[in-house]
Amino acid sequence: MRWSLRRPSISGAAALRGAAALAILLCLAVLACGCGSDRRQVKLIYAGSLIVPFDKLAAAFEQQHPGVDVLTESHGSIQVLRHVTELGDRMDFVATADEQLIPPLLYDRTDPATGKPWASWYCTFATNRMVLAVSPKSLLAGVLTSKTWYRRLTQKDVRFGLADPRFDAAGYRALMVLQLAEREYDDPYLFEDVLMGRFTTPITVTRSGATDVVEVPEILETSSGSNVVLRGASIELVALLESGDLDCAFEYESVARQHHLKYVRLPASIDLGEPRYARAYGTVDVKLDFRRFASVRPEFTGDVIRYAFTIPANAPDPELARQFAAFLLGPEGRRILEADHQPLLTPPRLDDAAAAPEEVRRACAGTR
Amino acid sequence: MRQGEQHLKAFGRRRVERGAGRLARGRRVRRRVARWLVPAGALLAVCLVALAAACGGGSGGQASPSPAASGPVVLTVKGEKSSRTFTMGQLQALPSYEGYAGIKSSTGVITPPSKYKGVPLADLAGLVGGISRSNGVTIVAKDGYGMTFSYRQIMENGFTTYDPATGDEERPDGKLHVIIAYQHDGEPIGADDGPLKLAVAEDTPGQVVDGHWAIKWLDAVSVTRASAAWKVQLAGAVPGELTRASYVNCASPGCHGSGWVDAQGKRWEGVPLYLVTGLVDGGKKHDAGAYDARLAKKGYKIQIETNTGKVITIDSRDIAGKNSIVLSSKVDGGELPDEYFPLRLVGPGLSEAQMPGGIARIVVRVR
Repeated sequence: MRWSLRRPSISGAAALRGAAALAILLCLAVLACGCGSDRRQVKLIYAGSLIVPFDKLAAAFEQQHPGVDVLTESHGSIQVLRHVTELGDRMDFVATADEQLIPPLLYDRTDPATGKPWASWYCTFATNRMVLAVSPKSLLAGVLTSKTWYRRLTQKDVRFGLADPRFDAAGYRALMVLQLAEREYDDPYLFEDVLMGRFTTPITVTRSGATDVVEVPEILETSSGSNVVLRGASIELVALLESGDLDCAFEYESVARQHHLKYVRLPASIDLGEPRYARAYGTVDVKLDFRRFASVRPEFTGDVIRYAFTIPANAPDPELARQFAAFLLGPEGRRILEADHQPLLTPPRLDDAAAAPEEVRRACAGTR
Repeated sequence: MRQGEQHLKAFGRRRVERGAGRLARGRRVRRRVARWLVPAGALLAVCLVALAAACGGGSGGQASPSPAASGPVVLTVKGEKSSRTFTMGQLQALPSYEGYAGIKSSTGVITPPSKYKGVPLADLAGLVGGISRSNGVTIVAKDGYGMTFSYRQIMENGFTTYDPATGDEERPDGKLHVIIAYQHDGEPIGADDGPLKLAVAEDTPGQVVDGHWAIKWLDAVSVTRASAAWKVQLAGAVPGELTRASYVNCASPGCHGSGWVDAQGKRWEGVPLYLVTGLVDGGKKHDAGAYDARLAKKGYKIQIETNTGKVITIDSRDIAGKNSIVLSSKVDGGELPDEYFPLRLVGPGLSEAQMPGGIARIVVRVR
């Protein structure tokens, strides 16, 4: 039997003192990294249809600006603006898929902290058009044309997707397309034939002067056996197209191309993408039968699709925001957007050049 | 044994004895510690249990011992004929449900399911008259954000649900419970989202729903008829609408009110369908000549769409001039049952399938 009485090589107290010292040193190191850091952040919030190109823009901006972190967030266009005004999020850069939303939501309302409008200018930088994206797995893949698509949608065995117009601009824009199509194809019952019987409470059309008013009911649910599939965001329809659960769906052209989906190009008189038809687009309104957001009048007039951005007056880092805006409008930003099939406005347009920052004015002027 | 060895032996023995002594002292210490530790631990356990009980721990179904009627009102629930207000204490005293809820944002970002506890929306609606298929339930938040939920959503799993791991659509594993939640992961919901928030929850953490349903800062619930101020959309050569007000006017006995008695002896009252088609079959909407009898005789289709998405088609020749084929809003002098609200087509010569209720739109295909 061996006996051994062990003596510690270092006393317990000394070990504790050593550990404490090490912990303190580590904490100081961490604090030093944080406090003394030169890292800055720029916070972007934008419409869901811009996700793909803006992810790349963010990465490219970070690469050009070491020490800058680009934080990104995306939602439906109305929700994007609401984050700034009603939800109290301080954002540096805000981009929406519908420029019409900025004046009522940002100009006409004031920041309670300052009493001043949330923003005083916006820059329109991109456009888009509505298309009918087709599933690669659909038997209709080679069959749908710009002349026949609407007749196919009336057939109960053709499953087509629609973004919910109560939540997504692409949804109310699709309804505008269908109503405008009545005139284009000289078919006065086209809207009813495509959508009649598809919802438990119908989407209806009335006439107010020379304007067709599409009314979306408070509760919008597809009826049993309906061939229409409704989803809260148009981006959610992409997965259903790819899986073959849908034959086709109304989408933005840029989104269809980003996801390599075939699509039917609709006539320019109805696709909300051609400025010379702006007046015709304006003969359709979509009215929501309920008020989802207290601040938003739930009625939208047909117009050319225009994307716009602004820098809110309470942006946490306005200097960095201006740099990002200039980057977006500059050669590399435009190259990234175009590579992702986002049609650009050339030159970009300011609604109030005097109110816009110098960097944005110069960038707009430089893009000619 | 040599002396050294003996010395060593003695030394070793002393060392063993000292070691044994230390061991023995250690054992005595341990016994003393054990003597007071066990009862102290037991006492601590009893204290913890008592504390937990006093704080009202435990999940699901346990009401607070005494609902606090005092305190600010946190929720107003309105029905068609009555309304109630609740403080937080009163809300927490109601039977509750606890389950897992999560969301998927409009751009695909998943907030995984976590535990929410609250009062089922169906139960709250039940306190002010209940809900049926003709009701919607509107939820309003303090910032004015509002959403209306259908009977199907509240009672029949009528939500699109997604796998929280992949974001792919999938059917829920079990029943979905729409609740007005006041607790998240065992804690009161903070001011960022609460104190009340709507959650669509399930027994297991296996699903998420679209984020726009998860209303935060919730402060009012209203149960309403899905279309209390109803109107039936009309489409034809010209668009039109039949509002409740214009219908009531038209249905009066001095105007165009008419009726039919069915085989069971029930009397259905309303406005003749052919006259309603006259509102949109041409330029004139009312008075003599509004109904184009010549056009009707040639024959055109009349499509009647209901609020369940059903569509029936009738030939204009089958109803031309027939006052007893009516869009009815009353039966035996009383309101129509919910399933037929707001109007039902009835009349002689029509099959049961051709007498739909819940009429929402009429399309007169004269063009």
